[in-house]
Amino acid sequence: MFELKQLWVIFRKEVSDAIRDRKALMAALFLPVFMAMTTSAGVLLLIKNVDEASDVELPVVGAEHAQPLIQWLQENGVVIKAAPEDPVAAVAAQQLDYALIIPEHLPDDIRAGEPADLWLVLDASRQDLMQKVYTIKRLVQAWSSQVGGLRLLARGVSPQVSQAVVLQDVNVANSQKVASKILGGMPLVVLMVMFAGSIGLAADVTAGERERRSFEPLLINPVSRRVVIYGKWAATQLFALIVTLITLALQLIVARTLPLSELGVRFDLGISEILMMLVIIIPVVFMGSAIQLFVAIFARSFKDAQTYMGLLVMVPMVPGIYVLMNPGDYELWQAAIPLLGPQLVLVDLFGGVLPSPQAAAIVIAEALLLGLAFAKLTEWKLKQETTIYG
Amino acid sequence: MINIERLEKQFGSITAVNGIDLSIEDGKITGLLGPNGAGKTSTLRMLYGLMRPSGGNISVDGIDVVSQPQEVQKIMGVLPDDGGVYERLTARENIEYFGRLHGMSESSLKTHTDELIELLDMHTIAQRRTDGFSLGERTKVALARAIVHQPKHVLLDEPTNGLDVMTTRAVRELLHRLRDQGRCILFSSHLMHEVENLCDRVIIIARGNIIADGSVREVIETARARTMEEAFVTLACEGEASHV
Repeated sequence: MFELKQLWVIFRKEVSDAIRDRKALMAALFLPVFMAMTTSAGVLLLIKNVDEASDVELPVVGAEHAQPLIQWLQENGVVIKAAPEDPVAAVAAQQLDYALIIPEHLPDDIRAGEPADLWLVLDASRQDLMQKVYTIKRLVQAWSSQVGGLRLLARGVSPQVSQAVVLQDVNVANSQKVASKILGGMPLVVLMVMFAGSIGLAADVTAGERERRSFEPLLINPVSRRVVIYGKWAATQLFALIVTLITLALQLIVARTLPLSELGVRFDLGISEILMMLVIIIPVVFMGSAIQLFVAIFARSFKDAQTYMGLLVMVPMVPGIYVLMNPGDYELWQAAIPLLGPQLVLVDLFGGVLPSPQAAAIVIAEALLLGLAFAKLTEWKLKQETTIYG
Repeated sequence: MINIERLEKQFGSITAVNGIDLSIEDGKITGLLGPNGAGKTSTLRMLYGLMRPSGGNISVDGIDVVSQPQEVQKIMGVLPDDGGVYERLTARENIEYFGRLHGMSESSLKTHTDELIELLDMHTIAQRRTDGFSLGERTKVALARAIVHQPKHVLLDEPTNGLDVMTTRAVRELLHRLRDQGRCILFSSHLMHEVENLCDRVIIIARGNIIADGSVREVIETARARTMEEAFVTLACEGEASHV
């Protein structure tokens, strides 16, 4: 009872101490916002690329001379616009990206069965437009061979005779894949922010005490090392948890607000998935904070501790990249690998799938055990005279 | 009452404390003197349970320090030689933090904190964050938080270090007051005039051994000196020489 009271005293002191460290606090709270902005920017960029490829605008001169072609283009998603009087000059001056010129005599040529000339005005040095130019060319060619095919049919010849080979595109640039990787990266973002967000506090309550030489007076009080570490641990957990939850909330908002469906990605989380995320994240915070304290207590100064823990932020990245490279199912034993397990389970949850109860149980139990083990190690380190007087 | 028997401390091959026997009575101010590296700070650290002796026993009011350090810490107040205060907490919050760790009730904590703020003349700094405090102001905070729980035994490692004249006087008065309340006070110092003015008993240690023990007058007479400073120099030099 007395020890619980002492734990509360230490926890309260560390929390109010940390809240007064405005700079560190702002940095920690900025992180989730920054990560949300990064994720949104990534998704928006993807959507923009997809949109640009599908919505092709085409300024046309003389559209009235080739109504069937214009109709065909419109049916295939091309937006026809009126072109200025002198499209060649406009394209040369880069006022216009490109333009299609349909000559007045086109209907006559077609009726006569002669090849009619169309002109696509373009600036070949503008590589960024080639995707759209390619789309237009492809569509015009397709219309041309359709009309040509009809002519052959009218003369009793199969249109297939005119084709020696047919080149089919196999497009592997799948925006859905990329978008699902963004979702798959969200657990990594959450874990990294969890480690990064409480660095300041974890360093201050351990290495900071060493640097200020305040461990000695603190430990002269009748308080056990375990209570000291647990109080500091609880404060670190609170901060890590707040920052992690803000990050998670913002990531979910980003995923829900952005038109992910345009990329063909389904993002549809129920309350049970979100609750399950919390059930996973809380023990992981419990473990992460203990690891931070353990690493930080080896540092003699606040600055050293920050350096060590800056490296610690990188640790979740190794399994994180593995997860990104190997989306999909995982074996149960993989859930038992520290820091990989939580990410695998969270990727499932972000995808709207509840993980298997065994995998969730393994991740939770392991995080709790590792948390206790690292807290015990930190306590052991605090018992060394060199930690207090070193 | 503090009892020390054959206390030893080794750091590798270096002997810091070499078999000290000592008992320190309640209701007295005992001064611990010695040149740098004599073993004063090591002895104090073992007394308040943060350093493990290599040999020997220490008990405070019959409680063994090594096996029950927290029981001893409950009845002890310590100003270590070098202890930081929390800079983002105010002076008062620093004092209250330690009082609460001792399990003091809020009402008694307030009474005693107010009393110490009064005694150490800390009115102007009590509500300020200790960031930017002078050495003297920090020492006041550290002293107040060390004794806010009204410990029966008070250990002070160079308590008047860096204090101005007014504050030194305030500390001196405080120590007299604590002694008159029947508490056991042990403090280390480098300042001879302070020892002369304050101590009921003086213990000089050199190279981990006690080389003089008695009232100020007795120590001066033993050394056949005129002042405490002369006595200290003579005895400390002899202590050093006897081991060469």
